[in-house]
Amino acid sequence: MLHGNERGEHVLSRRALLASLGTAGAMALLAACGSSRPAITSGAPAVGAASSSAAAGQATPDAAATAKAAGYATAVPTPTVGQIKTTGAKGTIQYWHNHSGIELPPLQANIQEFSKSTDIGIEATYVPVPPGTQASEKLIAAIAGGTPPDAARFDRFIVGSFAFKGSLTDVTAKAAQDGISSKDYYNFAWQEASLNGKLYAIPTSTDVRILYWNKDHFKDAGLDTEKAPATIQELDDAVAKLTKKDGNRYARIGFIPWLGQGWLYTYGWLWGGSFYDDKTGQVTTSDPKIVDAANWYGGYGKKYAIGDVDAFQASFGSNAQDPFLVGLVSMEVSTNGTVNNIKQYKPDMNYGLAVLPMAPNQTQTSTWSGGWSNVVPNGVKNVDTAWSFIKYMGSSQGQLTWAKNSKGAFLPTSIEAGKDPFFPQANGAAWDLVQKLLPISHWRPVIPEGNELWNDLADAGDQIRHQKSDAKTILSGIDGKVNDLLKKDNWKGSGG
Amino acid sequence: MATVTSVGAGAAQGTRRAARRRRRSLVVGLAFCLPWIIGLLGLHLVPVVLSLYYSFTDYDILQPPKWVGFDNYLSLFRDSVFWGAVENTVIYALMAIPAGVVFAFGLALLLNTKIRGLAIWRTIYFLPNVLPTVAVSIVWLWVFNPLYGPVNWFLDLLGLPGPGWFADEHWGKPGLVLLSLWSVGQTMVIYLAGLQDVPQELYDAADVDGASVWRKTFSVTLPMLTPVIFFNLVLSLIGVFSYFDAPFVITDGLGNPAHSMLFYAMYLYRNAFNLFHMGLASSMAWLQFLITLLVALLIFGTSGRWVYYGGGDEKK
Repeated sequence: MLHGNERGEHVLSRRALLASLGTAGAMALLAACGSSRPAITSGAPAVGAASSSAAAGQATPDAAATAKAAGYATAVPTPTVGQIKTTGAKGTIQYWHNHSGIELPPLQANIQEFSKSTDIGIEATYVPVPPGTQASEKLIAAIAGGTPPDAARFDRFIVGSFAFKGSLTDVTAKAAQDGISSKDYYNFAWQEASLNGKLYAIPTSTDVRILYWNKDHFKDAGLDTEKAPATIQELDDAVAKLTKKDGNRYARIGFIPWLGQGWLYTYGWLWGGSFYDDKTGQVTTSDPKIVDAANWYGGYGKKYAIGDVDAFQASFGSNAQDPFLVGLVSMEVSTNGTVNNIKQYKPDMNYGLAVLPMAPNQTQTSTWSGGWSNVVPNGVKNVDTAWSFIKYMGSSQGQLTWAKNSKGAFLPTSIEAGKDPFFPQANGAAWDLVQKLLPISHWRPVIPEGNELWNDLADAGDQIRHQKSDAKTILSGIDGKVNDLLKKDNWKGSGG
Repeated sequence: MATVTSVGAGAAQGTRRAARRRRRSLVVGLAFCLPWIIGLLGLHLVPVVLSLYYSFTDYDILQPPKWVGFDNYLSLFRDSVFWGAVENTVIYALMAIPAGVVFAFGLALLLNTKIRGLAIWRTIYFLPNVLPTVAVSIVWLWVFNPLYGPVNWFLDLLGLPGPGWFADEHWGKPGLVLLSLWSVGQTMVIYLAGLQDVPQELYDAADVDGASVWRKTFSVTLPMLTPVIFFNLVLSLIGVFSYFDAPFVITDGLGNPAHSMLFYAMYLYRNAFNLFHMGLASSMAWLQFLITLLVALLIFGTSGRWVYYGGGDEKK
């Protein structure tokens, strides 16, 4: 029995090795092809009105000709990926974004539509946000150095932090002048874009966290394929049935709480906890309900042997593929965007989606939303032109143009855009779920140290699942640290 | 007399001309050095001095620095993540530096023999040094993949359970040490140069005395190479305290699992460029400088006892 097992493992390992070698070889070959014949790798075909050629970095004469024929600002393709350029008689805006791949065609469509209607040119430049961080250090350095781009894409939950430091232009008056108000956007999006009642950004996209489950795995484990776990207890029971382990090696894990969008924020809110008290202006991550959630989360590290889970996760390769799509985990907390990934990369997958299971002693499920926005950095000379661009990008029309040219999942923050029949058509069943969740969705605290809190909570998750200390001690440590920083900031809550 | 004077005058004129030539060549020389001098002063000295100032301030780049005295240093001493990073760095240093010395020295000894294709072997062992660390790290991530990596596959063949390597908080650092050994080429070349400087007559004398290969290695080669070992030791010490790129790539900048691969320089980087605590990061940089200086001085202090510069009697 033991022998058979061992031999089985050997065969598997060798095959895996050969497969890996083969893959590496194929990749080398592809890379070689790519460099000699860039046309093959130039990516997405033309989507919508705009040609994707500029987006993919390929200068084809057609694109320019089409644009010219259409009679508006000419797109000038440049060799740099993510460089999109239009010209206009009323000046040019420098715009820094972090879009790549399938997000470039919709960006191009937006920019061309904007330039066509306003005759303002856009010079869009790809400035990445490094992994593990929330804002591009290049952008921050440019703002600090007094040479910022006119407009920039900005992770919405840290708008408050950077507005507090005086690095973003207050656009409250401009919004009022143009009749834009909180009624035009989902509440959480507007809240994240504001600090102390002043507006610093115009929201664009958003997302919600939902539970995905693999129906084939459920069938295999003898579970009801049409019913997602409704409570955490049901989830735990299902995981025990779904997980397959051979020695210290997992072949399949039912659910890994920290995978995908399984942050402490996700579970803290699910357990009914509160991370921040705006009356006192203090963070409260050691809220007993959050501690309960963290204990459940950390319990998975203990119950499923964190070292073995880590090895299993590491074997996926770093960020390479979603283990849920590959069929290595049976359930995952992820954003609505995963629907589109499945459609694109594993269209035959038999899966379902549901709200997150209810936590003990709760009467309602929960979720949270994040997303992006555009800002006008502080120190920009021509604020009016820059404002007109970020206003357009966040407008109902701007968001619809993006959505219709996008292959990725785009969830609008504009309430009017959300009413467009395009969305239920494009998203199917996911849309109903999203509509149910958006009104109750949580958002991360808008405080000067939102960035710090996010990083600390991410770290805490890792510490808790590796049983470095008990959850309460770790979370109290965060409260101490972040509240100290808030005290230094002289922060008294947005009300006070 | 007259001749003497004229000679004297001529000499004086000559000196003056020489002085003028010297001055001109000084100016030209300085002009050629100017870009470097500007770089040194503007891009190195000014930031270094400023960082000392920033280390006593609360500075986030976006707002003007605010003087806080020793607050940054004190908060570092209270910060458990900081001590974790120090501990990781020290543990890594204790493993990687001795392993690097032994491995590079051994390789240099092997490559100093008269074997066929010597140049090819030397090139092969130096090659990893010219590859970019990011690419190398990504390859090693796969090599050490706990389930599908060749290392664990091989261990499996031997019937040994392969560890999780970079996925395991206890095996991450040993994995990094192995990775560092792969690129000892630079150090190895320095040892090779040192080896070729060992006087042949010492070996000849040892041969006459009937010394074995081992005896010659330990009684001739090793003592003669102690200055080179000393030099490499100091260099790797400085290197290890600024160890950054490989663990940064492998752990996506986070240093996880459980901060087991969060090294000093990574935590400094995170404070500076992720959380924008420039003041705190500056104080970390100065502490790093002080620690490195202290350890280097310690090694210098002991060097009299073990570093041999030839010449017999000078050795204490």
